[in-house]
Amino acid sequence: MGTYIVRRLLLIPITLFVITIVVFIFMRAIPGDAGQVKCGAAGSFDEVCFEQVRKELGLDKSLFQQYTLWLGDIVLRGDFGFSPISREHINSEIGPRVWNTGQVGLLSIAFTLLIGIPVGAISAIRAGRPSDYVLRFFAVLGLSVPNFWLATLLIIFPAVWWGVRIAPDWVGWEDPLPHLQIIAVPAFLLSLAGGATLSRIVRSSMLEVLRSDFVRTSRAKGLRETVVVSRHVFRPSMIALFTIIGLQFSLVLGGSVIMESIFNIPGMGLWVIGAVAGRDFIVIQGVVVFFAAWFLVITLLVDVMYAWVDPRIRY
Amino acid sequence: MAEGYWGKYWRRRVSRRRVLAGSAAVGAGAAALVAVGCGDDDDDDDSAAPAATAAATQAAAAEATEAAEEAAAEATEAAEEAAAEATEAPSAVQRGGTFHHHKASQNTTLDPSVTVTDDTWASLTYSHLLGFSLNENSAWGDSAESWEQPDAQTLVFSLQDGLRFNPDAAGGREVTSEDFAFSFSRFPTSLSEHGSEVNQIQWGWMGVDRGASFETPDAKTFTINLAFPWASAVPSLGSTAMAVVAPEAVEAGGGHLKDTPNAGAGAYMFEDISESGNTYVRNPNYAGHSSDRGRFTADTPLIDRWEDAIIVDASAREARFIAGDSDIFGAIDKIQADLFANESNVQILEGVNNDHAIMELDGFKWAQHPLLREAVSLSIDWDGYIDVVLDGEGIRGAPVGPAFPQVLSQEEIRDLQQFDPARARQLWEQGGGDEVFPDGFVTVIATFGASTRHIEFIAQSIEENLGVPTRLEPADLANYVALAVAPAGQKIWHYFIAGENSLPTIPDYNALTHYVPNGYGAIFGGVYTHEHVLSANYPPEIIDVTHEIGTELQSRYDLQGATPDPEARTEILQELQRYIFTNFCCVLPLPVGSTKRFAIGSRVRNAPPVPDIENAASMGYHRTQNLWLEG
Repeated sequence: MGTYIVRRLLLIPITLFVITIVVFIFMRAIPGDAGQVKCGAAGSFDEVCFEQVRKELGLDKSLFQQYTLWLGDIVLRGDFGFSPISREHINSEIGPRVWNTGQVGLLSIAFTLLIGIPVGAISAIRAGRPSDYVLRFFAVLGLSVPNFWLATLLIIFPAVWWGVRIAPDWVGWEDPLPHLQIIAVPAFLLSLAGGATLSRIVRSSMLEVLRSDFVRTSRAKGLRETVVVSRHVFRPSMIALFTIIGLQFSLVLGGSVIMESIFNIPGMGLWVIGAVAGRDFIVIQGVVVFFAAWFLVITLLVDVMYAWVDPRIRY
Repeated sequence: MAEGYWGKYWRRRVSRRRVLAGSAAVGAGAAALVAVGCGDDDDDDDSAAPAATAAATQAAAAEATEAAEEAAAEATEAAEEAAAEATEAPSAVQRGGTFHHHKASQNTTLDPSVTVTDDTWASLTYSHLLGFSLNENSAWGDSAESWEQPDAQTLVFSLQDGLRFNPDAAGGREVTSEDFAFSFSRFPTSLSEHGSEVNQIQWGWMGVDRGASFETPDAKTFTINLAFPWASAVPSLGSTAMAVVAPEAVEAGGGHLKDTPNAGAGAYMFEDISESGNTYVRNPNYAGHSSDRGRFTADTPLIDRWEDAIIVDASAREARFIAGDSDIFGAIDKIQADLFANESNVQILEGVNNDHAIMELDGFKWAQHPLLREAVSLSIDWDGYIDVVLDGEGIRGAPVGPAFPQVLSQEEIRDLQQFDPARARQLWEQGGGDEVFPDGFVTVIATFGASTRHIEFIAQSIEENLGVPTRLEPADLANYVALAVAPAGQKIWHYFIAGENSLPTIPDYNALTHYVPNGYGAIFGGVYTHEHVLSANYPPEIIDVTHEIGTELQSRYDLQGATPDPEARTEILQELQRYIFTNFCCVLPLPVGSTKRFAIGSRVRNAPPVPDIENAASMGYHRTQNLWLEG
């Protein structure tokens, strides 16, 4: 196990290195740059400004120079760079944004568990009955309906029907209730797909366990069904939780881009949307590398947790 | 060493059995929570308040909407009346409150000589010499108490007493004529050194870079000596860009105000700037005016505070407005107006649409082919465009905005701009179109625009009636402008369809700026004169042609600017329009909507009529100081 962890840890910087190259090349391959965005107006284009911004961004240097300078700053000084668009250092921006995205992410994981486990468990216990079909229908629905579409409906319809907004303007924890209201809706929407997936996994895991010999034995001993399920069926089925939590972290990263722009949450997603529109290469590169690092660490943790909770799993 | 309370928990071994048991407990708890959550929450009566508010405001809003609809049905001429009815106050004027505003993105800079793409901050936090109303065709003194024009090139302004910068700008000192001279002199430097988006169209009429001068005989007298006569000098000074700034703040900012929030003498000042929005509070140094003047108040503005929320998503902005959390939504089309019609928090103002839309032909490719230019114009089904793109509610566009009296009549435009596919094909063949453009056309289509119907319609019209296909080249925001104004010979497009979204704010000569070399005619349309050659790639055989057309356009344009007599000026402007319509170089005016609709919140009173309301460079709602909020 120790060897496995060390091997995985060693792979992280190599993977990240490859990602930095890919991100860097792809960003340069798309047409347009921050100079064009910043120096183009409704019908004019200022070439002096364009050259100035390109110089400020280092875009006037060769691609190799740009890459090595950027990577060198990250590796040697932990400096993700300076955005000439927002005029902020990436490092100082990243903390509060990770926190905002993280809050939504953690809440969405909580919602995922709250949705997925009960639905999956009830569905398994009542397998083949109408309630099972109804719950499975909703699980499939949760998987198929895009969350951005639901988000738009959730925003528009309450306003049209009742004149209320489901998510107010962004406020921090200084106003806890509005803050929770703001993060709860996108977190709930982000959790739907994960919750649906989890419910289906929990259902199939529980069904498998329910058909095991030791469960039959438990019933034969005369244990009550609630005891059989809660003590002997539920526990071994919970390994699936770790898979889903790991997956949910990646879903949160991807989903945050859309959800944060819809609900106006100043997190990583909203940041990267603005950066893409403004061709703010420094921010995009920094955020993508950060996302990648986050994902690599989470998947490592999930894999380690697997082996820890299930002695049958060996690496 | 004593063990801390939590230490034993940290060191305690956690078995996998315990973790799984914990997970099971979480699951069981979740099931219980779900069950509890299914119950009805009878205590939740929060909806009563909005429902009551909605009921209370419904009557007033319905009345306002009805009034607006009635007025619109009468005629667009009655626009101002309709707007006034729609916003008529049922009760006495109220002072105070917060005006809730929203926009999609944060300001790119905070220097009024560098950007006017968003006018909220520049209108609220800066003072100007005067404000101008397009609807009323009159100007009102803002910082200027009075002014006179002794001759065609001289304007003398007397500044009013008590003008002071806000406390963050130059220590809140008195504003003097020197400050205006400094502020107006900055434009060329801002353009050349600070990436200004405020191009010469907005300040070039003064000729700051061509010999204009400013005199400040005393602290209260400010004289502009124009480099050449300009009949629209007074209306042009209404532009938001013509703000007075504190020289000390410019110096402290390193020669610009891009990152300096409070450098003016406006009625408000920034309280906070953040990613989620900006807030503005009253400038304690703002003294108001010596008397009521149009939409300026003698006292300070009626509204206490402005909040400008950044809402990225369009549906979120719409929900915010419908729910009554935004006091303004902005320009809307007919379909959206129908959707908003029954909303209790919405008023819809209607009036003359002063929009301007164009089909720019790249002069580099088209200048030598007059027959082909005309063929393209003849191949476009102009009335079909009105039916399909403008939902049947449009008029023929012209090089002068539809709100101005100098615009050609619809009958005349129809004569000048015809749809005749047979003649188009004949001219195309005669001009050797298939040899000149063997690969068809390319145009640019914005990926960030709300609709692309207009571009698709024109491409389809040309293909059906001329047999020439068009490739639509998508461009996002980062590329759009760069593609539009790429150097001569490097433009990938043959024609470029664009709507006007900023220059309607400049009075009198707005639309024409697209046609003349001193405006966008050169950089966008490639209609260079020998004086405007910006690229070595321009072959003499092409520039000789564009020079002839460009010189003609520019000289007529300059002549109208130098003609103060309204009748004589109208005649010159109408001749100029005829010249443009019959030369087809290199801009074809497109039809525009006949009615402009603007959605505002139901509690907003005294909103300026359309088109003034969005006419930010003059007296749009941002600068309307007698705007107030009911309730």
